[in-house]
Parts: sequence; structure tokens; C-alpha cells
Amino acid sequence: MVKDIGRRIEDALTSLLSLRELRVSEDRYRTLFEHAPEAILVHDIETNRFVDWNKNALEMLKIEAEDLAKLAPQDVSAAEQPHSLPPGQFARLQTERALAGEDPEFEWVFYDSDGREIPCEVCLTSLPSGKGHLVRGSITDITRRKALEAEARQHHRLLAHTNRVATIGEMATGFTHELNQPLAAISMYADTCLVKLKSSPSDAESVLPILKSLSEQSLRAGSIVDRIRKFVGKKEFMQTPCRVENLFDDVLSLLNSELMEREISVDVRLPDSLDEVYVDRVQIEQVFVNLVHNSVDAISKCESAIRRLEFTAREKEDGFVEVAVRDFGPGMTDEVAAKAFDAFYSTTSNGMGMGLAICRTIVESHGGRIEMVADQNEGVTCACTLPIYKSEPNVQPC
Amino acid sequence: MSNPAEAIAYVVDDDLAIRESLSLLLSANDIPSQVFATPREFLDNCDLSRKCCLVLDERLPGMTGLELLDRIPDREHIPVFMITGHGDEDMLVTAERKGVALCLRKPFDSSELVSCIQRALYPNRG
Repeated sequence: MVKDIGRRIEDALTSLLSLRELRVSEDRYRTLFEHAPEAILVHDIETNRFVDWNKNALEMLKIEAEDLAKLAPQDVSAAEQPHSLPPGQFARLQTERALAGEDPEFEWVFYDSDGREIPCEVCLTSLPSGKGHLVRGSITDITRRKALEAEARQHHRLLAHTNRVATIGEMATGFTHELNQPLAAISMYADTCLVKLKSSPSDAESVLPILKSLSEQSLRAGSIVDRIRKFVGKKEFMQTPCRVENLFDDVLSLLNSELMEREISVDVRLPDSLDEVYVDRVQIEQVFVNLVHNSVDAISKCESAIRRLEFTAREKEDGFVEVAVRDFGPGMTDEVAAKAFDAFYSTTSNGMGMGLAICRTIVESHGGRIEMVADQNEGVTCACTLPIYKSEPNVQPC
Repeated sequence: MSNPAEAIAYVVDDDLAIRESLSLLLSANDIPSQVFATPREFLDNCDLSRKCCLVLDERLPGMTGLELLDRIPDREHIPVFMITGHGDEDMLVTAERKGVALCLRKPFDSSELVSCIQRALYPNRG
């Protein structure tokens, strides 16, 4: 009997002790949770409500605990999210991955109670729970990083624009010549009409086709001006699907008069079928114009150089197309080729050395790479890789 | 086909619209003309024994207008007019030295070109 009572007291004490240990342990985890550097939200999938959160989460969302308890994730999320799938579908996909045991990480934009957007990085983890399904979101505010990225993009955009304006400035002589052709033709067509109408005022039949040609020439002049305006226009970085042959055509029409003057021909070599690339058209054309200018400079400095360029494109295995400009000029040493993409490195006395550095920034902002293969006496090939367009370029693998 | 006894203006310019507009302009002013897109085409087909004058673009495929002049045998008696997209000073000096009668920068006053050609081909017309 006494023994029995003793054992019961012992049992009670043991469970009391383990209960205390459990409390201590829970306190310890609660403290870890509360004082974690990130914001934490726990979402109950069954009830679609937040069931737990830490202080950082309440501060980030500027909300009281009792209000947050009444909300679901979609109530604190921005309507526009940086993913190509609709936000609801994207969120469900990530939740399913967490429940399957993965720890998906992705960017997500939250709304605080003032309606201000907070760009965040979120990592989801499934939590052990007796019933239902709990998913913990560990959330880091990346507002500052996003602002720095936007600032860097803005600098890049301005620098690229400055380079385009300078490039067009260098090409002004060629454009003047190109523009003067239709203007001269317009003036002669108009004078012809004047002469004809003076001698026979009612001779519409012979004047009408001349007026038609005149109008065509004014459109030709307009398209030259339009091409320049598009190239120097200051616009946001925007990737669109483009056919490589159209990019090449645009570049060649910009460079047409310059290449003619220097008597340099261009061979375009394209495979029979090539996927579209996903690029900012103006910026990639700018890269090509810069590369061609470099080749033209090299050819012009060398009397014996073959006056020919090659534009090529081929598909690579890794979701990229490699496009290249090749010249058969004097080539360069490995040291020069290695430094070619550094800012302020120039082999010409009037060059700023910014052209290729800007080319590299542009290609890298597309996720591609640019490289120069040079052979002394055999010319230079400058190749860059551009991403192939996929109908859903931002979908995460799942 | 123009009458070989008639004086003619030969035009060499690689721009189709310039060739077309210039020949229409000359024809409206009763000046027969023949146009060529390349120096080669001109050298192979022109008849320099007839009374003629030359209207040349400065930039031509394969050679410049001034280089073309050197390929024309016995050209002292042929008046030459140049039309250029952008005449730099060096080119103008060389053109004058080579006896080019007139250099016009495109776009130009077409009545000036027409009256120069008329004086060259028909010196006796009033």
C-alpha cells in the first residue's frame, strides 16, 4: 500500500517534472520564434486562417494580433505578384510543395494594413501538427535590395542610352547621306511636276505617277528618321520574343550606309529553323551595332583585311541561341581580347572604351554571356548567348 | 532609244529613286538621258563619241565618281557634274582639279543642274 502510494507520488512528480521540462522547452522555442530575425506566419490550410505569428510579422504587416487571426494569406498579399502564373494558383503550388516535404523559396509581395506593398522573400515549411495541415512561412523583407536593384537597372538604362546617342552621333554622316537621297529625289520629282504643269496645266495623267513616286520617297525619308528615333529612344528595359533574322535586318539597315561607304559586305548565315529569342530589341541591336563598329574599325586600319563580316546564329543545348559577329581583320592578341570588355579599355585614340563594357552589361542582364575569340591575323569573332523565348519564361520548375 | 545624233546626258547613280527622278526631270526639260546604276554598266554601254555630259554620284559601287573619271579615255571634251550625298572639302578640291564643272550637294536646286546641263549640251541655244 505504502509502496503503491510512493510509486504514485513518484509518477506524479516525474510527470510534473517532465511537464516542467516541456514548458521550459516550449518557452525556449517560443523565444526562438518570437526573436527570429525574420517575420514568421503560420497558416492552417484547413481553416485558411493564420494561427500563429511572431512580433516581426505583426510589425511588418502593421497589424494587431486579434485582427491577423481573422485573416488568410490572400488578405495580406498584393494582387500583382512577380510570377507569370496567377497569384492564387502560384501560392497553391508552393503550398503543395511544402506539404510534400520540400522547402520552396520564392518572392512574394505583401500588403501592410496601410496598403503599402512590401516585396519579400518567402520560404515555406510544413509543420508537424496533430490534426490539419500547418505551413510556416519564413518571410524576409527585401525592399532595400529591390530598391538597389532598381537603382542599378536605372543606371544601366541611362548608360546604355548614352552609348546609343553617342553611336548615332558617330553615324550621323552616314545617316545624312542616306537621308539626302530621298530628299534629292523628292525635290526633282516636284520640279518635274512643276515643269510639266507649267507647260500643260491639265496633264494630270503624266503628273500623277510622279506624285506617287514623290510620296514614296517621303515615306522612305520618314522611315530613316523613324529608325534613328527608335534606336535613341529612352525606354524601359523590356524583353519581347524576337526572330534573330529580324534583329539582323534592323542592325543592317542602321549600318547600311556606313558599310557601303567602307565597302564592307555582310554575309548572314542562319540555320533553317531557329527559336525566337527573348530580348530587349533595342539593346541587343545596340550590342550588334557596337560589335560591327569594332570590326569595321579593325578592318579600316588594315589595308590587307578582307572587307567582309559574317553574322551567324546557332542554337545551343542549354536554352540559349548563340549569335556572333565575325570579321576577317587583323585580329588581336589574347591580352587585348581578355581586356576588351573592361570599361575604359580602348585600342583607339578617340574611343572611350565603354562600348564593349556596355555590351557585356546588356547581354548579362539577359542572363547570357559575351565572349571574344581572337586569332592574331585571322580576325575576331564576338559571340553572345541570348535566352530562347518560352511561352512561360518565369514558371518555376515544380 | 535616243537618236545618236542628239546630245545626251549620262547619269551614274546607284540610288534608283535618284536615277528615276533625275531622268524624269531631264526629260520634262527636253534633255535626253540614259541612266546607269554602276560604273561598270556605264563603261560597258555608253557611247562617248556622241555629244554628251556626265552626271555622277560621288559614292558608287566599286569605285568613287572621281575614280570613274580616270577610267574614261579622252574625257576633256565631256562636261562633268557631280552630285554628292555629303561633299567634304578634300573631295571638292580634287573634283575641281580633275575638271569637274559643278559639284552639287544633295538635295540640290534642280533648276541649277538643268541649266548647267543645257548650257553644256546646247551651247548655241539662247
